[in-house]
Amino acid sequence: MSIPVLRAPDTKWGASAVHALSVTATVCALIFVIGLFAEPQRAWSGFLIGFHALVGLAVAGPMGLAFFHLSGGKWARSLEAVPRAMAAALPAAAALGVVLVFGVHSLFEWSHASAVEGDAILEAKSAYLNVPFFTVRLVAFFVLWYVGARAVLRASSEATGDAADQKRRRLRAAAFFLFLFAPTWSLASIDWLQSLDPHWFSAIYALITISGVAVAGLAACIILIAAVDTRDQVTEAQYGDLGALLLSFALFWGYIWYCQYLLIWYTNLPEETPWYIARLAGDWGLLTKVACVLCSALPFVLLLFRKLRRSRRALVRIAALVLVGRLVDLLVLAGPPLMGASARLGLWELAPIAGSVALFFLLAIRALRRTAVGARSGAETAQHVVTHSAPATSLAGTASR
Amino acid sequence: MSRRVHLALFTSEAKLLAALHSCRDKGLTILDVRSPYPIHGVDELAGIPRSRLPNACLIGGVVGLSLALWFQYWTSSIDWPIDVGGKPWNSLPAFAPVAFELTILFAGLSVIFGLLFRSKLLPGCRGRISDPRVTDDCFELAVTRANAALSDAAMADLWRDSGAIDTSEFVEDIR
Repeated sequence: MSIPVLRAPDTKWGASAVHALSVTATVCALIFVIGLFAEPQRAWSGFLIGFHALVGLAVAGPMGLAFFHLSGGKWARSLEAVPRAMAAALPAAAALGVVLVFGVHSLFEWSHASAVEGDAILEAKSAYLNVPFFTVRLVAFFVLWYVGARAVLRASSEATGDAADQKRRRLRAAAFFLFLFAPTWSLASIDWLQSLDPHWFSAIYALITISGVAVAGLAACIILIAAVDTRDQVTEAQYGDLGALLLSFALFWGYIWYCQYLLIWYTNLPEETPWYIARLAGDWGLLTKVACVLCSALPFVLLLFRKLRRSRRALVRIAALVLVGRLVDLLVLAGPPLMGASARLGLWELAPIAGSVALFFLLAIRALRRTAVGARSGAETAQHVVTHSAPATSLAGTASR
Repeated sequence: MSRRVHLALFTSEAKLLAALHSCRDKGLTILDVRSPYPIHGVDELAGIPRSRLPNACLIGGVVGLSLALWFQYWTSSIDWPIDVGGKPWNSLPAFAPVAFELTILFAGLSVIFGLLFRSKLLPGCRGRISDPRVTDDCFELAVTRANAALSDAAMADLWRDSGAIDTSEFVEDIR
């Protein structure tokens, strides 16, 4: 049985959302520019967190597609237009990355020669942590991710050739992307987040950030799916499967987070504990707890209930909580070295964060609008239906096949 | 009271599902579907109520979690407190891994034993199986004509049209 591919219902869909989001993004960008003159350090702090949110949500698209293609799950085949649309934010993320290079001196201690000089650890790390190499790496990451993401996206939307051929190409593109992505993401999360505390290191750090990307990306994907599904074509079983996946990613994030915490707590070494001491005291302690509850504990408990998993309304609300939790998590990861002992969250920090999230949804919704029948678009409109067996609804189909 | 149970054997999932649909259309009551592997969504289609095993899983998980937390607390802070690296005796972070593992273990085992108990498959039991081929490459449908006015001939037609390779029937006492 064929389930219609999820696409924008008509050319009018999302028009008002695009309008509102572009106004929000523009206003936030203006505030950021003013902030650069008024309070440069605070504006750059917010920018770094917003940049991370945007990059994470953009790469979550091809990463999720690659997971689906490699695991061979057919239940999400009809929903793939949404993660494809999420990847549309990748060029914008690269542009923000270029902007980030100008803020390096306001953000990273290791970029100041005076801080490095006489500090044995920073001197030893300066072969890697220096501004020219940082810039080269940043550009290389985005070029590689763009190339990999394009391959995954093309394989996902392709409808030519026989099924076995398509499947082989999907597998090859997914493996290619993940092979590129895993090591480059590890380096990127060291560059952009971990090096904010340049004396500190953790081998599991990249896994924490990538599990955060997975859980937040899926949450954004669920919100977009529910938004575009105005004609109830996504089945209850598909929402249930999305919910179950969100549950496992939430648990995965919590598990990895706890792995790092437990090892550092246990060994109690003076070069490792300061990172947690800064994040578990005062305001930061509260925010760490909020992030853990919103990203892991709360979605885990709520999604155990089948009724909530399968209900679109409940699932979207849980996904929104997870997305907020992810922003708080990024704030806790980046905040203490930038803001000091207590969290400072004013207009200068919040505007770039809100602007980046608005920019992501703006670009994703714009890409989804192009999937509407009658909208100007490339190859995608050629593919109207995709054959796949979705649970429950497909039984009649399998019988008559 | 007793009822007559009809069994039909099919060689493919597709044929079984087609037969399931025609049985439902004719108003037959579907008693069971037997298959070498789980068929997603067949429970809803056959009108088989949702399993209560998840409850056993939840209870097992909660028992495992409480047991692990209590036992670690009792051993390390009450019965035999030892100073390990200056950590407090009652250190929840250290208890978490074992508590997590025992939650999973108890939850998993309670599902297995709950299933064995409910299906009366205790050690030493002899397997009661209607046709050994359903453990290999065949699919079986068990239906009864409880509320459907269907003649024996119509029943035979139904099985023949849906491609059953083998059929049988027996009378079963129900209380």
